Formats: sequence, C-alpha cells, structure tokens
Amino acid sequence: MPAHIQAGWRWCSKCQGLALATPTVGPCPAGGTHGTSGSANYAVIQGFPGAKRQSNWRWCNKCQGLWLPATLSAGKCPAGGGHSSSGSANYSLVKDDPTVPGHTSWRWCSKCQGLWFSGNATAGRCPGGGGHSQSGSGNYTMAQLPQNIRLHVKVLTAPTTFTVDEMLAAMRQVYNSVGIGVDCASVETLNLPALNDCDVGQCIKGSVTTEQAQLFSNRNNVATNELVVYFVRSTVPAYNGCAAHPTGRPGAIVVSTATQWTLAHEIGHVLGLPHCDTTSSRLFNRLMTGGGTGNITNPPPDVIQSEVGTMKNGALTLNV
Amino acid sequence: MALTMEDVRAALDPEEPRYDESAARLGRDALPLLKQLIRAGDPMLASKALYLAAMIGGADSAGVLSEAARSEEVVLRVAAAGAARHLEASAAEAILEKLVDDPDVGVQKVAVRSISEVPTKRLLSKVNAIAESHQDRALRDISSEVALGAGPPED
Repeated sequence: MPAHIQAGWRWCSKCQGLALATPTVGPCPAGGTHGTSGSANYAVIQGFPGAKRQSNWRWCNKCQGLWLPATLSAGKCPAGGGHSSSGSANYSLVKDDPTVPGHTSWRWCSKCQGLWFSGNATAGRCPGGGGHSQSGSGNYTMAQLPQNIRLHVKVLTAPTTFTVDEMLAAMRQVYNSVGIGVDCASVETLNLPALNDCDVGQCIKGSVTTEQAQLFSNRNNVATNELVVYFVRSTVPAYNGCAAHPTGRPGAIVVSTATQWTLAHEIGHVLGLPHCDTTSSRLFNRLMTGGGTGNITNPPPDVIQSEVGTMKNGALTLNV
Repeated sequence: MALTMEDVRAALDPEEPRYDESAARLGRDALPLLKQLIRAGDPMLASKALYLAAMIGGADSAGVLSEAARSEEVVLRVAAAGAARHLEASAAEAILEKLVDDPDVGVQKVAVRSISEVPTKRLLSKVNAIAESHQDRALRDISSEVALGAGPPED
C-alpha cells in the first residue's frame, strides 16, 4: 500500500466515531474502549490537498480518533481535556464530492471536533455531551479497503439445477455489492463415490460426522485462511448445503440440486453469519434467511451492515 | 385448523430443515401432502419430503419410501436409503434389502449405513457379501465396519 494511505481506521458502534485501531483502540465516550466489531477497514490519505479535499484532519494520540482542529478549539476528547495532534500526520478527507466512490455520510461534530458516521439511526455518543452534531458539517466520503475471500471449488458431482458458474455469479452479485470480492482460486474434480452422498448428521456448527471429516480432508494444500466448497450429489439427510466443517478447514458442502443462492448462503455461515430470521417471521429479502433461499423475493438478496462487518472482520476475508 | 401445503413447504424449504422438530409438529396429517411433493418431480423437495415422511413414520410413510426406492431418479433412491433407518424395522428391512443391491454405489453406501441402525440377519448377510467382494474398496471398508459393529444379527 502506498505510504501516504493509512489503513486500519475503524468505525465505533458505540460512539459512531472513527478511530485508528492499531496498535490499540482508544477510549470511547460511551464508556470503555471503542467497539470496532462490525466495522469495515477504512483508509485515510495523508496529505494531497485539493478541490473537495479538506486537509488538516489529525489523529489524536489519546483517543485514537480523527478530528479537525478548529480555531481556538481542540474539541473534546473522551480521554479528558481537548484532543491532541501530537505525532499526527496531516490527513485529507474527501468532502462534498459525490463523484468519488466510497462510504458517505461521515460528518464533523462541532462539539467534539471528531469525525463520526451519521448514516445510522443514532447520533452516537459525543464526549461533549449527548449525541454528536452534524450542524455545519460537510458530507465526507471514506475509502473502504477492498477485501476478498479465496474460494477453492472441489466437484464430486456437478450441480444440475444451477451450474457452479451460475452459483459463483450469484454469490458475487451479493458479496461484491458490499465490497467483498470472491476469488475462485482453483477448481478440482474429486472421484469419491463413497462421499458423494455425504452423511452430515444434523449439520451442527463445530461438529462433523466421519464422512464430513473424510471429505474435508481432501483439501490439497489450501491455506487455512481460504475456503473450500465441495459440490456433492446429495447429503444424508437431504439439505441444500451444510456449513459445518472441521476446525481449521473452513468450507461448506453444496448439493447438486441447490438453489443459485445456496453457495453464498452457506459461505455466509462459514464467515460467521447466523440465520437472520425466525420461523414465525421470515425475511425473504435477505441472503441469510432460514426459510430457504429458493424463496428469495428480491434478487440479489440483501446483506445488512452488521452482517457485512462480521464477514469483513473475520480471518477468512483478506485485504487485497 | 387443517394442515396446508404452505405449512409443509415452510418445514422443507430451508437450506437445512429440522426434520425431527417438523415431524413432531406436523404429524401424520402431513403425509398426503408429502406424497404429492415426492411425486411432483422436484428432486430436492422430494428428497426432503421423504426424510420428513420417514421421521413421521407409519404405514403410509413406508409406502412412499418403498415407491421412491424404485424411482429412476437416483437422488430419490439415496433419500429412501437414508430415510429408511427411521422406519420400523420390518418396513425398513424391505426397503433396504432392495437398495443395498442398487446399481449405484452411492445408494448402496447409504443403504449400508442405514443397515447399521436396522441390523437384521438378512440385511447383515448382504452387507457381509459386499464387504467380501464388492469392486469398490471404500464400500467394502464401510460394509466391513458396519458388519463388525453390528454384533450378533437380529432375527
């Protein structure tokens, strides 16, 4: 990554602020330290002023936040007193420029001088008291680092209802829309007739049958932070797919008669997503519905921000 | 209120149906609807319907599994072989006796696994024969494992 681009900035779900998460997260005005679970990995540019680029943003070494020094004001720092700019670079943010792709709705708070995300239904927590203010602020666009998953395809039986390519295309429709690339790293055919109708038991996370363990042992040098999908003829009992896998061998099984969204759904489980609904209240506009992806009503199905954060924060989603 | 196809589909449509919970909740009133799905031609749905029918149990469920065991669609025969282990022993034996001799190795394998739950003398005799002479090594190994694990055969 170019030296003037600094990654590792994270959104805090408690105060809605932006803070540098390495080497440590700083104190949060909502209490404790910043909560960055569910955040994308943001990059901030050092230098490079220009039209629609606002310079002089600084990192505070007390709270790790990004703040804009105003005349006669160091704002309010959750670590106490005003923010500090000691040791900070001069950062430039994209301001009021809808032509630049990225994550918009970031605002400057006139009370604490910090940068915060105004796109949720909360003004977060401001160290100046109450929620943050966006009064007088421009609309800042933040760059989210692209991330990929690397998927290795192992075919015991080629799927029949939808092809592997169709399932991958459907998966990319969903994943790409939230900034996650799907890199099909390899395709291999496996001749394992005894595992082609794989016993998956009750398909319980963290628990695999003998046959699942045997199937997943056919990983063939795939790295531990990469995923394998096994296309089989069927499972016993009959499922569309199963995301239960042995520890250290992340992957899923998809059957030959699965829907076009099953692959994306099962890999979603592997990335840490549970079902998003209940039997009494199904959400058929969502990828992670437990009611069956064959019932999806608004293709491509949605993945919401908290789910995206879970997917991106895991060890299996790699920075490009 | 009478059970509807919508109720049955809600149980079967998930990527990972919960067969035991659905069998307990829907009961034998679901069997005529499951039969419709098994015969309708969608192999994914039919496979799931077979498992649910077997979990519900009874003479009607044995009947649909027996019919599926004769299907030209191999995925249905696999499902029948896997689901049969949930039937009463006498009903399961008839179905598994046929499927353990299926021309498809996958169907045979699933039938052999099911026989570990229904280890009658007749079925174990077939498993032993597979363990001794089948051309597929993995199936021979699985059959040996089932035969050894079964202990004295039940009559």
